Amino acid sequence: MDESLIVEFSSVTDAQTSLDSINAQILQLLQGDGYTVIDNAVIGKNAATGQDDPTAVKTSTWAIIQQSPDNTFYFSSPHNDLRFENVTIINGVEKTLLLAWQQTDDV
Amino acid sequence: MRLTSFQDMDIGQRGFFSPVQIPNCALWLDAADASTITQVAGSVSQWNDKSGNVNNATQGTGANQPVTGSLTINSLNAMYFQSANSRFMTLTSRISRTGGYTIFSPLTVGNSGATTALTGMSGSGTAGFSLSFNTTLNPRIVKAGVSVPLVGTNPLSASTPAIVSAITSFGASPQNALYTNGVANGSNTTDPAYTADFNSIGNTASTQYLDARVGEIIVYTRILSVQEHDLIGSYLAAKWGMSWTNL
Repeated sequence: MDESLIVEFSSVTDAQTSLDSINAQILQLLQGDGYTVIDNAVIGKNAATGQDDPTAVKTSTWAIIQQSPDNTFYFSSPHNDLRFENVTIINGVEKTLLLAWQQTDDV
Repeated sequence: MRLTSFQDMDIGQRGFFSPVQIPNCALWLDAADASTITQVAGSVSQWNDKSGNVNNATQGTGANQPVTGSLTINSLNAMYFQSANSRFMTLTSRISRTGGYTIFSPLTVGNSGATTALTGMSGSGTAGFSLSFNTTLNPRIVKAGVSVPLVGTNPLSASTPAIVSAITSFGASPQNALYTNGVANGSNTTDPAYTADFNSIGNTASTQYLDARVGEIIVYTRILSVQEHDLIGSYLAAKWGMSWTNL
């Protein structure tokens, strides 16, 4: 399995503060690339026409905070995406997602 | 006009045939049709349903969005679901289990080393239909979170495109069957006893994240006849540059 980077935090408050910072940086980057941002959400563009599609679901956050089996908190690192490799991460520790943290139910 | 074979479709019908000509098409997601895809720098927030039911697949969280415009299946754009980054989409509406399902998907599966699901249940949902692949890439018909009514005899080959199709129904006359490029890959009459309708693409119950390039996903809410099944299979094979052996 490909490895995925996460950012881990000791508290959900720290995780939310970091995610808010990441979201703000990503919105700024995407605005610079010509994407429309309304109410802190990104309007997607139709892949055929390149036009804004305001009726489609908007991208409202980079990630969702999850609780780990170790009772820490984490979300996917923006550095998994080459577009966001220069995004600054505050508070947390970037690490590889442990297989044991992933739900791997067989059914 | 009722189409009874791919040849009928091909003679004078080229350019007009679509899967919705066969009744009870409940979902048709087509990665080769860019006009159905809404994206932010390649990450897909919405993949529109072409069945006419407006059962669009959506994902509003950037890190979980599948990717378009970077990978192909035989030169046509594919939707890339990467298990390591938990990419999946949720359908606007659940797809009714009442009449059973026939599902088709031209796709290239990766070898993630884990069980992965093409379709399933959103959130913590269980007991609906899931089409998944086990760690050796055998396709499976699953009652999500509960049981595995059927495991395909032959695994898919990682990185080799294939058309996977399946039929499954429950209740009075249960039946399950899997096909790879039209070739039978196991069948039985085990009752899946579904008690929920599925609504997720690329995972099930927040687990089993898909690792695959997906060309299309077409779902009917009934068991198609053999002729109808072959018609869709032939259509997909012609479009995606694959082979199809009639059932």
